[in-house]
Amino acid sequence: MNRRFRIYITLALIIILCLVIITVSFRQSELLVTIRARTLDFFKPIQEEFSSFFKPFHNFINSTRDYINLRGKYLDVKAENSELRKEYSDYANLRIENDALRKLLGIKLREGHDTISAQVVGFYKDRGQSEIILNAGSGEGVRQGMGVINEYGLIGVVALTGDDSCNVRLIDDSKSSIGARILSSRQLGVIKGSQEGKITLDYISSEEDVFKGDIIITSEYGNLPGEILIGRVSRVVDSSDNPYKIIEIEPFADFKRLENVLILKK
Amino acid sequence: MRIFSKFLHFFILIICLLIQIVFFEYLKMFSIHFDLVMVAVVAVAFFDGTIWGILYGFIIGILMDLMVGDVVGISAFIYAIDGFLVDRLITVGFKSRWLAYLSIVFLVTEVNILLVNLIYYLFNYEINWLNMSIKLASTPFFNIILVFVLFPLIRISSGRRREIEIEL
Repeated sequence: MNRRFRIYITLALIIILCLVIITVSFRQSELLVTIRARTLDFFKPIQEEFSSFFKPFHNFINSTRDYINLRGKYLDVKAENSELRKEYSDYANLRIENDALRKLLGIKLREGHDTISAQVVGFYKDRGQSEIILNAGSGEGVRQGMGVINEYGLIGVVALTGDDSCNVRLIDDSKSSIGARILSSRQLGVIKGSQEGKITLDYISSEEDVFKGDIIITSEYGNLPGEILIGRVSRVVDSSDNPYKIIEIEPFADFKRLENVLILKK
Repeated sequence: MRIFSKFLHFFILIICLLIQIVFFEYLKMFSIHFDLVMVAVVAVAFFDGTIWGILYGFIIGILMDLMVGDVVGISAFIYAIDGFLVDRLITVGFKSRWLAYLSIVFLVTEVNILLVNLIYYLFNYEINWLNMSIKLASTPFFNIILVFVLFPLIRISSGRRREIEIEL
């Protein structure tokens, strides 16, 4: 058999094999999900080592970025800080008042969430897909569909779990879809990602008032606990031929700076 | 020795895959698109032969899909095609070895980006023309930087130098 013929035969066999695997993958085969989970677990220890090796590089990139944006950020933070100081005293009083009223009405007091801490050991961002890999899995109690947060707010939802690791679909992933609310007006909508990495709040009627800067939180009607911060409205567009507003969201969490996260137990 | 070099190359590809996931995918958030795995597959196809390039491209692509892919099999298909493309391109012929490395990586990267967009278009994804143009313009240059590290490494570990066919 000549060399070129062997190459074509190999390529043809590989293409057929790929088509079979793609078909099985589209059918969401249980076997494939198990294999994916096992693969994640298998590579987890090496990935953790690689992740800690590359951490200084990540930090260097982030520090450089911070340094460039430092002055602008400083002024923003200064303004925000004085605003927050004023709001904090109001908030403390309201909280005490709220708790007292809740007790009076027999409503349960707000509770904290049980969480599992995890470290980011891998990234994937391409063609509308935006995922991270964490070093915690079903062995630690992580289940598919659990929310993942950091100190700024929601970052994504667990999409696949292995024994010791899991894949998290970030909220800017094109397949991401999370129930949400506008904090001020209590309007319900759905937060979705897109192929361009933009995050939008869908299904808010064009007749409703939505303003730039409105805060978006998770809805208690979805799979995630309610009242978790997601982001702020960055752009609102009204369209005459669309019954819904086009609302773009800027997340509170910075996806370029994900290191340690918390997984919310249901 | 040859079997050892094949294992070594597979090991190098696994390392490249992990570096890609841990570091280079992170850089994509800053619009810096390196494809270390693709460059490694091209290097293996170049020095070990096209069949090895196709096989390793398929295996490493499957591993990548299993770890982070949306649809398992797409990266495997694309990297296998990348391995095959090397065979088609080296017959064009280059007199300088480094010019050959750089040109092949440049061309394979361009074909790779177009192929990926075509496949995703067939899977009902929209093509973002601006994003694709930026990738077509920038990714080959990022990948060329990787050539200077990976090609000598694979070349030395393969223990031989593949002759470049020159068609005039």
